[in-house]
Amino acid sequence: MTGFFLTILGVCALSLGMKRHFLQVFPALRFSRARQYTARFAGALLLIAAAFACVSDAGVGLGLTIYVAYLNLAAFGLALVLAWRASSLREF
Amino acid sequence: MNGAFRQSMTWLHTWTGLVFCWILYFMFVTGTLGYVDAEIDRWMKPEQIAPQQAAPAEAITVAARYLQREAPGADRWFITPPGGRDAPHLRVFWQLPTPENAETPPDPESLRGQELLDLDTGEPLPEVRETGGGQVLYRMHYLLHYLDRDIAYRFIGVVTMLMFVGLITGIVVHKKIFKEFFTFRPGKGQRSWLDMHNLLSVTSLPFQLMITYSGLIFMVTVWMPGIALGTFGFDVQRTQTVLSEAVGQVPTERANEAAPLVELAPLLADAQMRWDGAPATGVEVRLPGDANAEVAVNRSEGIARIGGGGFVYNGVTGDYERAAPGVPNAPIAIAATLIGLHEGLFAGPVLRWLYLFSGLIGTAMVATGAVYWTAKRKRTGVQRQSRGYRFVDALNVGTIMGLPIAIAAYFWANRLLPTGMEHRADWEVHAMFLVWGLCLLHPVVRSTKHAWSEQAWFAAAAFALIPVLNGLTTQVHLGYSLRAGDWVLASFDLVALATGIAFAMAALLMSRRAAGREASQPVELEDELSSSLNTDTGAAVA
Repeated sequence: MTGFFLTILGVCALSLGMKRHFLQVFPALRFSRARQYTARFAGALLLIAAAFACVSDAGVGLGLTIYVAYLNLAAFGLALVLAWRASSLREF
Repeated sequence: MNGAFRQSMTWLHTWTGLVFCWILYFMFVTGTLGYVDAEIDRWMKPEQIAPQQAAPAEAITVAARYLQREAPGADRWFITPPGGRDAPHLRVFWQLPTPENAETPPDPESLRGQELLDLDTGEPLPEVRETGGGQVLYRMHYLLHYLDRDIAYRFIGVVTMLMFVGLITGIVVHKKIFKEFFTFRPGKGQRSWLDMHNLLSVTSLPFQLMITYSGLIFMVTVWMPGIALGTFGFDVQRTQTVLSEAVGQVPTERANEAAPLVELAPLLADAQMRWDGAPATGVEVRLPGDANAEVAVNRSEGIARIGGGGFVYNGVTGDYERAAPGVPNAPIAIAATLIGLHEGLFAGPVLRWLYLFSGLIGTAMVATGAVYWTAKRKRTGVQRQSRGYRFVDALNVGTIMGLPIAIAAYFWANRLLPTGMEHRADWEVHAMFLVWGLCLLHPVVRSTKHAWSEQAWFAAAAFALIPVLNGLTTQVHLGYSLRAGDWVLASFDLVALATGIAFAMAALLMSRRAAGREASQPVELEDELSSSLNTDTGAAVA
């Protein structure tokens, strides 16, 4: 389960490294170069951590298989949330 | 990248996609259901006794006793002890030798037999309704049911390659894979369809590449017959032998001398010890009752399902002979891993749901691609009138909505056809394809605009009423399964209900949109009229 949560956080961070989604969630803030790189770096780190969590949980073969499936679910789910419910993310 | 190159790839993506999207949709739907084939089997045999558990040694003794009686002179016995989702009951399979100097070669089916055994009585399980179950449904995704096996294999081989072409060209065509990674803009017609098609494809790309490429590995002898042909010519027998040796099967010669078969249970115990306590998952007895008999105790584990290998024992004395390596060589290991990933037999409950999800995403990817083709051409009135447009639009309704309805019909037929009926299992499938045929006709006689929402409503009812139907016709309804905590049976009914609700939501959306379109149509007409009047007056003034 840790792997899944880290994957969700990872794709969220990556999406915040993109101007369109950053402004969807934080319309009042300015999308700066520094924020972009911070979000991308954090996203990459979280996704690497998620992969390690999955592998340590279930072994290399099975762990990576599960990780890829998590990535699919998290990225697709996040895109739907951003499309319809970006406003509810603002409350965070 | 070169514009002309991308353009030619777009053309390729559009047309391979469009021409084969309906067959691909069929493969994705039935293949996805294959991830829950054992669960569907269970639901479609409501009379079947509950899954049984036993130590492998105990189960193997029951199986051997039955096989000694029913198939004593067989070439091979395969015994699968009960355990896990694939094997809720003890399963035995036997292969009889091909009689020598027979005038006409006998039907290979008549030389094979298999049976599920009751651990308590040692006899076959009581008869249940004749049904194709989840197995027939899942086999459709590569056998297409009504076609000859060889033809179906070749056809599916070609379609799989085209799917692969579709994926690769899709990657080339999509200009903003990273920039629009999470982008979906709803309510924008054509734009939204393309967004959704991209989103589905990009987020599930690893799965789609894996499932398609491994699908090609299944078809390797279809696509690369030349290698075997170049080496062995047209000697089919020799090719087969070499191929089975390559995957680690060593043929055993018959001594034609009777010798009693060794007791199997101690061999299992020995193998279990060599595996540090892990139990065997299958036993193969070669030439039982012959002096050259061998017993192979196997264990499949990991993604490739061959990782554990096996141990071979002398079938008369019970002496340990050799270890059969699970992975004989690297190419086999790679192929087995890809095939293992494709079949997902190793997946536990969580990963199984994820496989189901990925399969559905693939299904939706094909469907949104097909709808996008029409959405893109909808705006120009000329193309909308064309025969091609109407053909694609009608096939889209009849397949995207019609196939799920047909599958619901398969389940309904399982419950409604009389249990004593002859060829009952065949008629379940006939019911499915008859209903699909009707769904394909419906948008032709009715306008596709209405057909979309009507079929969606019909699908909603067909799935949502499955739990009700189950309650009326069997004892294993939700009232029982939820109380008994039988999650396999309960999940089937609950998923059917959820599918029904999903279709109802889609239907509601479509009806609302169709109504909206009708309401806005007069306005459009007026606009067109006034604009044409304007140009007329403009021309007159000029």
